[in-house]
Amino acid sequence: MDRRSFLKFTAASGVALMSPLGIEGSARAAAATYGGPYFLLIHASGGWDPTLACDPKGSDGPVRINATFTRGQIGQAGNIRYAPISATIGGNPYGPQQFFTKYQNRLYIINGIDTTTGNHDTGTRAIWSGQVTDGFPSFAAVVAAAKTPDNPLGFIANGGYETTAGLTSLTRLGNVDSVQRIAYANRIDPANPMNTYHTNATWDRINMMQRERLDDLRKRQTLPRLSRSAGELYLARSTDNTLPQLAAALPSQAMINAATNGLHRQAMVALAGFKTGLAVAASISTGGFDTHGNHDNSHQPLMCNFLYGIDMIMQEITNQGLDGKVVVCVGSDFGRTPGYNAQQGKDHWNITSMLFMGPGISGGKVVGSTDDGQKANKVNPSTLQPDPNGTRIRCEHIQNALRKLAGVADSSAARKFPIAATEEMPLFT
Amino acid sequence: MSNAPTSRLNYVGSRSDTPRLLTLGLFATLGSALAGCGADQCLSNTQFYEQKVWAEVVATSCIKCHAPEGVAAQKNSKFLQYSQAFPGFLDLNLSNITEVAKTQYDGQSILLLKPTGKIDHGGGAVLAEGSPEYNTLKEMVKRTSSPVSCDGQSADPLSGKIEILDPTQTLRKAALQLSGRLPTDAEIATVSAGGEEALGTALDAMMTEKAFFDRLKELYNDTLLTGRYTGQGLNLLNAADYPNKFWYRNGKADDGMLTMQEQNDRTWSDYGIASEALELVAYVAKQNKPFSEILTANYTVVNPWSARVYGLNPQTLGFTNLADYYEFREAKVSITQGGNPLALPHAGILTTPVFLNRYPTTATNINRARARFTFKFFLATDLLAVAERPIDPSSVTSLTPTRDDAYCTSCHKIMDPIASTYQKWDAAGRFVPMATGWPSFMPQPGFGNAIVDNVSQYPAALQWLSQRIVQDPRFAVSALNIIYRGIMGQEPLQYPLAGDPEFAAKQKAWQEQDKVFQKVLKSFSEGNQNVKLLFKGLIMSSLYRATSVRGLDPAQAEMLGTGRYLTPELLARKIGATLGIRWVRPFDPERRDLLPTDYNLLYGGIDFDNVTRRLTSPNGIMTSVAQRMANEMSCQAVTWEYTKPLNDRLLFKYVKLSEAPEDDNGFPVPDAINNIRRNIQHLHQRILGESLDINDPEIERTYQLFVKTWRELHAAANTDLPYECEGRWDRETGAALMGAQIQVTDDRYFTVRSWMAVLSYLMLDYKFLEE
Repeated sequence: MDRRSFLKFTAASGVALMSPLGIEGSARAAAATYGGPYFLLIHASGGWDPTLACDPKGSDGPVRINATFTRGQIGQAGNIRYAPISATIGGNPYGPQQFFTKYQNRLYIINGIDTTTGNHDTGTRAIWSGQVTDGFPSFAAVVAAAKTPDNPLGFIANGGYETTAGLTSLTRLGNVDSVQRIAYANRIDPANPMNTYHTNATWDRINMMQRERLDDLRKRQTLPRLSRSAGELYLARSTDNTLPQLAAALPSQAMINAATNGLHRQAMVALAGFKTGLAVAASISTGGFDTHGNHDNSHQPLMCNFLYGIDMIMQEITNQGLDGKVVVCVGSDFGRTPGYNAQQGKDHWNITSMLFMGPGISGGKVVGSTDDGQKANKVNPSTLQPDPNGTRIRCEHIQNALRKLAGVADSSAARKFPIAATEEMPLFT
Repeated sequence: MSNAPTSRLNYVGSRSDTPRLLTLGLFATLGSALAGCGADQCLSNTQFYEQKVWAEVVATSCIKCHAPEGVAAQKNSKFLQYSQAFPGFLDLNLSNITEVAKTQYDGQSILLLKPTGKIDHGGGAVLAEGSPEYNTLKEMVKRTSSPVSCDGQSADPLSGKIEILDPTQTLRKAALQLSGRLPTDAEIATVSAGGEEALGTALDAMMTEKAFFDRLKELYNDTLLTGRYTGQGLNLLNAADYPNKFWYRNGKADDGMLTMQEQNDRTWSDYGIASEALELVAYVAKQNKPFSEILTANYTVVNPWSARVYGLNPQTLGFTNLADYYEFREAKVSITQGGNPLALPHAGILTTPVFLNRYPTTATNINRARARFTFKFFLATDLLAVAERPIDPSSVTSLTPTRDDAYCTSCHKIMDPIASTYQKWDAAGRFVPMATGWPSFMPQPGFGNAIVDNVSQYPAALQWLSQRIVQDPRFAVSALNIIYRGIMGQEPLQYPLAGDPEFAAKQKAWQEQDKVFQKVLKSFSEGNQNVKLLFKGLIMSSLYRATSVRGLDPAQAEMLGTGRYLTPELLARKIGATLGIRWVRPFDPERRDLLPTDYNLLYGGIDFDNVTRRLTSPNGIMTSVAQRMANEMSCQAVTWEYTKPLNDRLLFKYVKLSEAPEDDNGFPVPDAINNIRRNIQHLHQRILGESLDINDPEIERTYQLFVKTWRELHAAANTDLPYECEGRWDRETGAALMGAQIQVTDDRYFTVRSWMAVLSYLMLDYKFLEE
């Protein structure tokens, strides 16, 4: 049964089709194909060092923050100052110079973000949800729930911060070839629509009666855990017709394996989800940034490869015809200390940066800053200009602004998880 | 004084039943209340500490240094506050703070003078006089001399508000969970007659079965993630240390030319080494030894194959069956260094090659990761969570704060001594007692305020550490947490943070959970630390058995019930237990289950390497896998059942295939209808665990599915059955049936596919896919 038939069936049978989780919208609204914008969250896991990318300091300042270059060597692309580091990727040099030069007019950079934590889990949660509180949902979950309330494939994840807080389903795709087989659950041979276990009418009947039973059970349920889990199953089941669409759009596993960059590989799946209009948001991640030892030799090639991966993703967005439809957000758990430890590593530091590109984002801007000791400078919350009497930019400011950018700030999904902030910042306006 | 009721839980019965009161006494009564102030605003001293002092001051400002292993404790501070990893931490803390508050200097409590820096305080001034936190402490000091009690708070808030599974229903749930099977008729009869006590006895018996120990290993594998090295055990061993590593080839290294026998020997040698840590956990449980031995065992466990790898003679180790891959025995292992044997100082899991390799170290990490995971796995403490609270970079003056700043040293002073206990085990997990070069800035091996002060004892420092860990009350909590996660599919509730808008309700939920935990931990302690008591205590509690509540704020009922989407492993076993046949990989000679193999990651499973966190909520992909499973299994199960004699059937005991609900003229056939409904009732019981009256609406709903499907097929008059669904195979073995064994090759009565529809429907049910 496809979604349209399902809706007709429910209307004819008088079955109430309410969201199990109290989120707004009806199945009828959700039935419309979502056309964007889509949100791709890219996480540098372990705590990256922004001074090796968009917030460079140099070795000859009051504090020797970067050992491998001086202040005079720091590059500039438009308004963006970048670290002059490089690595050989695919036989060619690649680093911040190539990346920031190419995307200088599209990038919106926020430096000097205070995550208020040095804990990996908490930092990851704060960056992508706006709160340090355990269990707070990812922005991806909020936007997926708000944009397509009954959509079980709204949030695709392969790392990063995955908490949904029951707002929507989380999907991991794993080996995409297996998706073909389960996309056609009633076909004995997935390639043969005539060879089925049940007649199509019987299969529709089974699913409809199961849904009725689950709905009754859910309504009777008084334990929050059981009510939540029944609601999650109810929501996850409206995928009858969408999984074949996704299966058809997915690249083959061989094509994915052929991509050389890990981030790019993950994004290929996410972008296929966007292209079908099924996925609204995706979270992808790559790790290794927790360089407590041998920082420069370990972190610099990682950072270059990370930026290269984002470059590949931007090209893939173009190749998939999604230009102007995907908001790309890049962040990490937190930053790394200004100084080097005894093992030439850098430890956890609560000040970090984020990058943004995509529709609604004013490119070529850098907001926020850090001082020579890599401490966050305060900004005026209205003008975003440096202001010693202002406030630090924190995760809650960014996430509240992101919710506004996405147009979901007033959705019931967002209202269910309000982000506490002492003031608002017009970061994306 | 209150008379808190002891009967506050009701069994859930059939829908028409009036719930019976149950006297379990699972919870302690709430503390007594004395006369005091108005009910709306009144907080007793205990409540004031819990809701204000702990949540708003101690947890955010004090605990980092004033935990028992913290900087302040090392300086003999009398103010000691325990984290929530310690059982009964709130009571301990209130008692301590009450005593400390009474100590005065110049007429003022040191509880106010020290944090404001007015007298010597190691942490300097951390609170401003007049700040909300200061005022909270001030109120606490006042209360120590004038304790506040409150009227009207003695009633048990859950009294009569919870319905739980009755003993036989609990038995089914536990049997599937612990043993991967349904309870036998004899077990059901015994528990039905004997109630709670009989349930406990039945659980004891289940926890002697092999399946239980496999489940225990699964739970610990989800935590330790040593499954990462499945099939690679031998790669973890150094051939110089273990010259018998390639015993199955007379010492010659693998060259890809193994005979079948050599390949088999290699496989089971690999298994023995890779599963050593988990098998030790199972061994300790099987022998009913104190669970502390998972860390303190001065031995490891080997199967006959890994025994040979370690150069041991299996014949001397007491195996009952030298051909049993899964039999493990105690053994003491020596390595070869400089041509001489050197006995390993075993410290349970900590010194197994698989653990040391799963949590390696580097020259720059210097065993800190191993220390962190030791805390996490065996002391229920996330060291990094100490840094979870908001920190202010402007207060940090050092550029290398992990060494120099109090924000960082508070953690490192705890972590680094433990890191030092691992100093004689290198990055690859080799024992290197003569190794030098441990960084001089690292402290002596130690734990808390104790240290290993004799250098000659450093090689055995992990044994020393193990003994101290298991004496720490957090060791038992860590085991309880791991088992709780495994059988409940949830994380234990954490004490709510100050400022949480649902603080009060969440605190009540946490308190109820804590009462159960305390009771279970007490039983564990008094029961010689037998790990089975942790399972039993949780399963017998309302946390596991609750099915509904009334009159409670949802947040206050958050700790009740399981509601977990089954893991691939659990669902695979449940399919076999209920249908009598398994969903296996086609054409696989080993007939491995599909869910934990081909569909593992798609169904939310983990690979112990890249994907290490299970999905506990379903998504569209997972429900599609379930649909595939339901259809393939209904296709197989119906005809397989009808190829068997009636007495051997599990699913269709009450109805023949020829029994249709209507005759060819569309008139109902009452006897057939009765039998169909009776069998539907049986299927609801067997597959979903529902005991329903024959007139229950759910029986009617399922009957309607059957009859509507039958009418559709009858109208179409097509009697063809998909070839794959015919009764041509033994579905238990996969073997083709021969001659007269082949039965049910068409659907002449239109009932095969009608029953297939019913089975698919039931296997897609919430109560089948979740527990």
